[in-house]
Amino acid sequence: MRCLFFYTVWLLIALPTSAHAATVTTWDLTTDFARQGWQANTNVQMSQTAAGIRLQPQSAEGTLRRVVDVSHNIDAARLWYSTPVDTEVFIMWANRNSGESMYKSPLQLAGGPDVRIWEIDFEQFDTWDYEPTIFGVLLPNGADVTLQNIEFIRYSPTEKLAALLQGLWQFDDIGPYSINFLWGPRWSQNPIQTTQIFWVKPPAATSANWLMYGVLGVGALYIWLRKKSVQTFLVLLACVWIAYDIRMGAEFLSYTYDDYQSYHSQQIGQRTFRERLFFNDLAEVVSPVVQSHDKYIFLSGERWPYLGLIRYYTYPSLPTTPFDGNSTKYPLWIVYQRPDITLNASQQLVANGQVLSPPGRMLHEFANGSFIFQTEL
Amino acid sequence: MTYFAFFIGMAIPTCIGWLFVRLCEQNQPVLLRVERWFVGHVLGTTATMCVFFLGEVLGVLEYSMTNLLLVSTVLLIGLSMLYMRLRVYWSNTPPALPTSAPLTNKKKLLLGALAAWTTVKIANAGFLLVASPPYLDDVFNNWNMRGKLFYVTQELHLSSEIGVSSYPPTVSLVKTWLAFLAGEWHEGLVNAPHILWYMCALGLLFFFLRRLTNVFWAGIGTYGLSSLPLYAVHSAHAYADIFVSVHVFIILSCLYNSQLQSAASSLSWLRLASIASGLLIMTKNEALLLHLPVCLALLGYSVYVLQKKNIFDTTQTRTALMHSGMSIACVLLPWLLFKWTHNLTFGNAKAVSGLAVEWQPGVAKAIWVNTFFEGNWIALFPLLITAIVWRWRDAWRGSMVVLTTYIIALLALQLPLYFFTSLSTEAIQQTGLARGFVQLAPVMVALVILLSYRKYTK
Repeated sequence: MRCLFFYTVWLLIALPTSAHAATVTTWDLTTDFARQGWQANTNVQMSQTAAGIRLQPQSAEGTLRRVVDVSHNIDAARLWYSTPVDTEVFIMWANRNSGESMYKSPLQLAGGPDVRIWEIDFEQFDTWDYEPTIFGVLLPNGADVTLQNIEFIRYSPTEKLAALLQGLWQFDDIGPYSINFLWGPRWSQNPIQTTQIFWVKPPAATSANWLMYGVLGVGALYIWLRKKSVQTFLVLLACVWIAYDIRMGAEFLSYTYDDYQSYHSQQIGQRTFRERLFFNDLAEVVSPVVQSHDKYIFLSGERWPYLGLIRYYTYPSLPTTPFDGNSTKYPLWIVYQRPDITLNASQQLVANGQVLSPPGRMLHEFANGSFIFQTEL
Repeated sequence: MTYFAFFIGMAIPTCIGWLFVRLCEQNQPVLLRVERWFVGHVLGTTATMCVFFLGEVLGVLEYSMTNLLLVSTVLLIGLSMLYMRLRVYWSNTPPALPTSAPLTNKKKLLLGALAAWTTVKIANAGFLLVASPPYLDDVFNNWNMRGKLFYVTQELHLSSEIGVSSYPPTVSLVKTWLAFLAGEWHEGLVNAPHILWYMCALGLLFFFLRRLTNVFWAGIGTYGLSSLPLYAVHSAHAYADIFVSVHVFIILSCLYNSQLQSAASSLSWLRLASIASGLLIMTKNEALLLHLPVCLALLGYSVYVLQKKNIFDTTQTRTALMHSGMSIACVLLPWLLFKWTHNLTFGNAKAVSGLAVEWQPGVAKAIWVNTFFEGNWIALFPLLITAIVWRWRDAWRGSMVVLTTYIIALLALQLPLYFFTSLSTEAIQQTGLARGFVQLAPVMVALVILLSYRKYTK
């Protein structure tokens, strides 16, 4: 066993230097390259600027694509872009098996004046075969996106090994599902995937339990072939178990650390609690306000979990909806994360041009779309 | 005031439980001193809340803070007097543990490190439990919501639309009891008992294993349970599955031990198992439908084996069955009557009546992934399966059959519900499957450790 470890380490050290570095092909879209080989459909107004190719679909969504003439396999990509407003685009690709159709995946581009980088992990897609024939983007009507650079990356075995080890130590955040299941450590395939493991659910990377079973299986086989004692296997099992426990225990502690950073150590008004943001503080503030009312009207961007949660906070005062004549029956309105609800000139709450409430006044505004409102009943 | 309320609120049911358990043991104490406090805390909490509930539904005790205090004080004084009277005639010598060889320095170091790490995780769980705002659905829509409902309205609304009224009120009532004592609904206070139940699970597993193995293996087993990631997450949230798991473990460990000793000890163990079985009904709905039938079958089996081995004569068999029947009926009958009269459902996530039987695709994959390829259980399930298959003779021999049968029977009852009924969503969306396994976790760990220990020491 010691020899095997020694030879593995020696092999990794002795690998040629090139094997340690990623192979990268760059499409620099600020140069003449931008004019070569691209196919844009007629909806897209495409112009060459100093910052790259500027793409502006006019009357419908537009696509831009190009044949991929890269000499190496592709694991991931980096996209340098700028767009004035947040925009959802799709990356598209075809391979030798996909025929005329192209695979698509959405990207959320952040708006702003700066050039930003989006890292794309292709290995998360089941349809990715590392040798795309066509790559492109699909933009919604009205988008204004400038592409500056695209890098196609093939990671070396050592980088992939390092990503695997780092991926095992990436933690998921606590969520409403954590009481039912925990994703656990994941087997990341490349450095970009490592940073993005828990961005999507289910996670992009494969379960690292395969690795645990592999180690235990190989260990058991070795012990059986070498006629070692059961005790040897139990020691191996204990090592694997404790390592796994340290990983999951650290994730468990990270829940508290994250809560401390965002909630416990912050002032009221600035603190946020997990994905519920400032709702808990809002509920604590409104709780005494609604106590003199049997019922009050509650509106939020999402019904779950906020309706049940505010009921718990404010009980025995109960939340209700503005429907069935309630809007003229109950004077107190609690609104959370509904930026579409505003006050009109008559001091009524309106959403999409539709009047929701009788005239009233704003008692307190926590943030845009989150406030306490009282009607004049 | 909050700390004081917590101390008093936990001490009263624990003392009631301790006395209750000690009186059940009668002339043959079978529990270790520390062990009796753990069992006393868990069963005492459920029993005290059960008395509050029975008082209300039978109409003999109007639900109010004064009456709760009165009843608990009367219970405490009554049981104390009874115990003081009877202890004169009873043996009070606790059972002796088997000797354990002194630990080597390496083992001491390992156990010390694992204990320190476990302490850190328990402290973390306690902090999350006590300091976090309400977050999970069953907390603010059920357990805590019902408790707050009882507290605010000063009435035991047992068939209200708020919360899941078909559930036994025990866990919610514990929260109400603490809030009453504190004079306010304090989120940290009402959540705090959950961490005690978790620690009871660890403590009881340790002493159960210690009776049958040595300090090292008992320590490893306890660490094994504490290291299960999903079990640890449950320790940090105000859900009731760990509470169910401790009750289940008390029953199973008592049944296991009942097979190993003299007639008098076996009778004591069986009484404890029966009382825990009765109180198990008051934890969650699935306790009645899934756990209780298997517990009753194993209780019957244990008595049958004891008689067959001539450890019990006919009188002792009759006594054991009578005690068991009465203990369980005392809780089961009022609860069933209450459910039927209030038209409450029997299921957990859904009512069990009217579930159509049809093959549900996707369940097998969901169970496979949840059990083996997520971070919930480390390698518990592969180890459990390997241990049962590899040591199948031991798994089905002697007392071990109690643990093995229980796990297999529970899985055999639970899994078809997912495979063939609309409860499949609980497995496919992973909302209920693993929580069912949380309830079995201490028993599973105990079985793995005992089977491994037998192999290791042979």
